[in-house]
Amino acid sequence: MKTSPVILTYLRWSAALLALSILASIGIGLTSFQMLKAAQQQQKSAMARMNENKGKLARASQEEQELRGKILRFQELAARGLIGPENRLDWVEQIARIHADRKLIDLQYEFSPQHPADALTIPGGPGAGGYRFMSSTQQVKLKLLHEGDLLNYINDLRTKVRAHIQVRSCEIERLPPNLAERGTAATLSASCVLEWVSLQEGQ
Amino acid sequence: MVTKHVLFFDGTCVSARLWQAGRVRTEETFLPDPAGLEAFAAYLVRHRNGLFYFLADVAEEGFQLENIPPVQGGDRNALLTRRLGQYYYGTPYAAAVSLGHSKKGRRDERILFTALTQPDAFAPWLKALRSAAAPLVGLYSVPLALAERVPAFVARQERFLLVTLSSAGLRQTFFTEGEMQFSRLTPLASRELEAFAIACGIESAKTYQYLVGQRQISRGSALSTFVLAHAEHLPLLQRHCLDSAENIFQFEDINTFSASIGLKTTLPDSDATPLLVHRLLTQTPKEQFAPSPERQMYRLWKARFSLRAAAAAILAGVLLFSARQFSQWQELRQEADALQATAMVDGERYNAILDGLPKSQLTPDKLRAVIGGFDELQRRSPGIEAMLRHLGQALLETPSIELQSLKWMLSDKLDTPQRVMRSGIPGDGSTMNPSTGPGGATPGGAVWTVLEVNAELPRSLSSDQRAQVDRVENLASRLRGNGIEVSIKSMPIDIESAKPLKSQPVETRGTVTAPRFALQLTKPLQP
Repeated sequence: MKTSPVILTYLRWSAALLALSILASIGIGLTSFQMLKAAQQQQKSAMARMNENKGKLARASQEEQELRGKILRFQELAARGLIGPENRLDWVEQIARIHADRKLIDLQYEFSPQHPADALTIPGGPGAGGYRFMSSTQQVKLKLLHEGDLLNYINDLRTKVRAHIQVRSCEIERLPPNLAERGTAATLSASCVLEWVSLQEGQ
Repeated sequence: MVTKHVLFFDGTCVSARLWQAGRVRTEETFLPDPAGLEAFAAYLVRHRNGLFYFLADVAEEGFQLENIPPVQGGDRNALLTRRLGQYYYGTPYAAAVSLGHSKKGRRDERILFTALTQPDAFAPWLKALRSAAAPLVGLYSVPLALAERVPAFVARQERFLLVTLSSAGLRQTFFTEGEMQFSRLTPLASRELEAFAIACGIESAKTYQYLVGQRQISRGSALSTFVLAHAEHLPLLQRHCLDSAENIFQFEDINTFSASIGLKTTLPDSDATPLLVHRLLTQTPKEQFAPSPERQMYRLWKARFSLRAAAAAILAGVLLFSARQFSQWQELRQEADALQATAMVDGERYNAILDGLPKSQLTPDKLRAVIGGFDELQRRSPGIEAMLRHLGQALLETPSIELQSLKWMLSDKLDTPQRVMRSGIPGDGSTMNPSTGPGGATPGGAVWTVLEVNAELPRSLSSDQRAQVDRVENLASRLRGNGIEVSIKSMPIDIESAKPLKSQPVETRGTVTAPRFALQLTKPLQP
């Protein structure tokens, strides 16, 4: 009886069985471990979602008030024409109307092409909730009888035009006295930079 | 469960006995002729998955007691092998049984050298076992099986003779202090009970004489002889085995003893073979007679068993682990389902609340982002009136100062302000907002409204530098407050130590110009 063949014959299936059981064990162990891990993850996310929903529900009343207010404000902005494409024709007409109504001595202006609002206007960037804050910069020069003309011009813009007006700068200088037209001649000149901001859909 | 077979050899035939859970059943008996050996080989093939114990009950055996020096390991093995070779030269079936160490002197080890001295009798059977590759656990003799543990009923005896009956004949086994010293088989010519009873009495007396001759017992001392027989046979035995000064007979019911050691088979007569089989399998002796090559298949069987046991243990362990994991998995899944259901209910209630809101094309988060952005835009869109009004109020109290120009602006960074002190030492920037970083950068999105004021003092003060400085500082101090910081950008006269200071040129001394100065007002926007 030769030893090695006998040993091989006698033990091969058992050795194979052991190897198989080790492989199967590794497979079963890994699978069950991964299943458990996935279930733990699932439970964790379910717990997080439940907590989130519970929190939202707890804040729902307050949130409802908040959202109601925000919806109304959004609708108000839309009604004021701040949302949507610019209407420069309307702007020009409104400026002309203010010029006439306020009997401004001289008013010269220039709008830059529309551009995304910069960081001084919106620090977090122009994009917000699917909308973009877009701005058109107006360089305006006025001849003023007194400083009230400038304030009236800006206030009228704020109430009448379909854009949000942000004053970036205003420089007022005293003009040399004009003795010939005393009482009707401009005494001040003003040069201002205004941002005409509107909201447009799309990031 | 592996089956265990005992091949009981009585010197002539082999009787195969199956042992299962304390029960012994006779399977087949094989004669030592070609037909018997062929049947034996076929039997081995049929039971190739079982384990085989070869139990010999033969008269041809030897016992030698010797004290060996207390050596260990390889030296001991070499010594025992040498002694076995010396005592039993002609047989490979020899074993050395340790009977313990002497309690006196150099603590010699007491060894019983025993052997089956007629190896040819075993040869055909062992050859068949080898040919069938049957796993042979060992080759044992009845004395070895009996020696493993002294029966309880003789435990208190210092020396005694145990008499048993089997198909091989009458066996007398001598024990001293619980250790088997000698055993002797007397074949019986007849299987009649009476022959057994007569032989029991006669052979006990002969054994006594032999033991005296071997100085195992002293002459004239009484020796207890325990006869193991069926209860129904005891009266006959008692008639033939009469007590003497040397031999004192005691009789034990073989079934009572069998039951006491866990044998569940009831013996029909005094034949102790099933008892010996049971004893061999329940208390297998450490020593046996078969040489190592005869047991190769048993070692392989053990290796195979270990491999399978390891495989089963690993699988069982992993299955247990997985079952525990699965149980936890199920619990987690159930918990997750319950949580999801709760979350869904809460979500639906929340959505129902939101559904009650005015309709909007935006989700709440987008709405918040849009309105939040617009709020920030509004915060950053202050009017210019407030700052102008503040300036106007201060100028009302100092009417002699005339404004030349104003510059209002919105800024997210400030120039480091200068402040000219009366002492002429430049300011340390204490008017700068503390949140202003180096170079005027403003962390956190801070924004200021800034008003730069250029103005003139009355010409009447042109020759009074101290009054000029007083007037400007007075205006600056009036402007401070309500969150407004004021810095003097330029004085009518440069009194800073870091700047050159010149007198008025001769050619301009006749010309009187109004002293000019510049201020900067800053106010941070409220967050």
